[in-house]
Amino acid sequence: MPDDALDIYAKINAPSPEQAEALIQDLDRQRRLRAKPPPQPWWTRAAVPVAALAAAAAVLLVVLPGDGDGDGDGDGIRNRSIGGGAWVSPEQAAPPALRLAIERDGIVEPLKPGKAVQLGDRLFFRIESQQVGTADLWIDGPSGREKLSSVSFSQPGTLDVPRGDGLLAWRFDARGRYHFEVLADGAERCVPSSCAQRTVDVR
Amino acid sequence: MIPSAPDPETFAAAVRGDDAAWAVLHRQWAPVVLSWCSYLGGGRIDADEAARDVFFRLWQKAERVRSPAVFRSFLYSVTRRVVSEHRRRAWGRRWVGAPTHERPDTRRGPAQLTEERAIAAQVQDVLGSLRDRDREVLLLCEVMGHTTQEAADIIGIPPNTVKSRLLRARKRFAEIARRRDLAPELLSA
Repeated sequence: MPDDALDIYAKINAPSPEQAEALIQDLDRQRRLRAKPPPQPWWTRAAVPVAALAAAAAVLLVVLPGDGDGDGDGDGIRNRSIGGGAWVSPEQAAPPALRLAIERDGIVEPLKPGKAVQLGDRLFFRIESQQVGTADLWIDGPSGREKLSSVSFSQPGTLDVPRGDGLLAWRFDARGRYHFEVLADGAERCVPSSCAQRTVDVR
Repeated sequence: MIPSAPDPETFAAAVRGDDAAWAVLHRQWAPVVLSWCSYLGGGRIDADEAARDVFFRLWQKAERVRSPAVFRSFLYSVTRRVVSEHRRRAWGRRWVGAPTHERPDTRRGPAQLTEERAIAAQVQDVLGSLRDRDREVLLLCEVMGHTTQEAADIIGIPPNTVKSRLLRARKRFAEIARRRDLAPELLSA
């Protein structure tokens, strides 16, 4: 019996303690993320849309009065996507880009906007940044909002989002709408000129 | 040493959705599932990813486990199914050039590691030519070090069936290994 050959097979394929620990941490995190939130009392449920409406009204009041005739000093460029009233630096004018690839039945291909996504599909992420710094990948889905990963750019370029020594793969296990965002340098909310967004509908 | 069953109170709390209980189960069973996935998958699948899928299904179906006593065999049957699915996907992945799942290992020198990986790949090929049921008992008993009784409990078959499958698997493995000239210096019998 070739015991030695089997021993070598066992040694080569043995998971490391670090690998097991990383899995445990990840399972705990995923489990918390997937756990259903506790039911909220009705008054807090009502308060959220009211607060959102008030916030939207406040934003409109701030943005609409801008007359768009900015007197730029030459260092900035007009950012038309936020109402024409703001000036941003050249660095801010080049937001990161988020590209998605989907794996289904062993086939990986780019995820085009509007393409149907099904339960069980896996998503891979590629970030392009023209800036040096950190880009954070966030997910906002049926189970809440959470940061998935961070990627450091030592120079402008394109990087696949890693996990361990492989790639981060997100598997959809619940139907609904998922927003993926790439935010620069520790930001927690998307500012249009400095973040990338992709929305995926899982049916 | 693989635990035979989870603590009944912890298990009951986990089924009710208690996150702390799940954290205990993860710590106790994730290394076990990872090990099963690694050996059953044989380096051709992403064992981490497969283990995550196993636990995802467990989260969904934990209430179907009738008692903690059958938890281990339930978990193993889920693992076996998931690994099988991942092996099929891995076969398809070869055609699209997806990354392999080899991990860097700094503990052994490059020459030794290369040689061992080559042998492991040969072993994987020989294992792949065994029948599924024979390969399973060979992996559980010879690679993972389970006793016949433990393997029987995990798979859910009588111990004597494990013994007969193991005997057949050993014989068949040795025959194929010799025929393929698998690391002859390692074939002592």
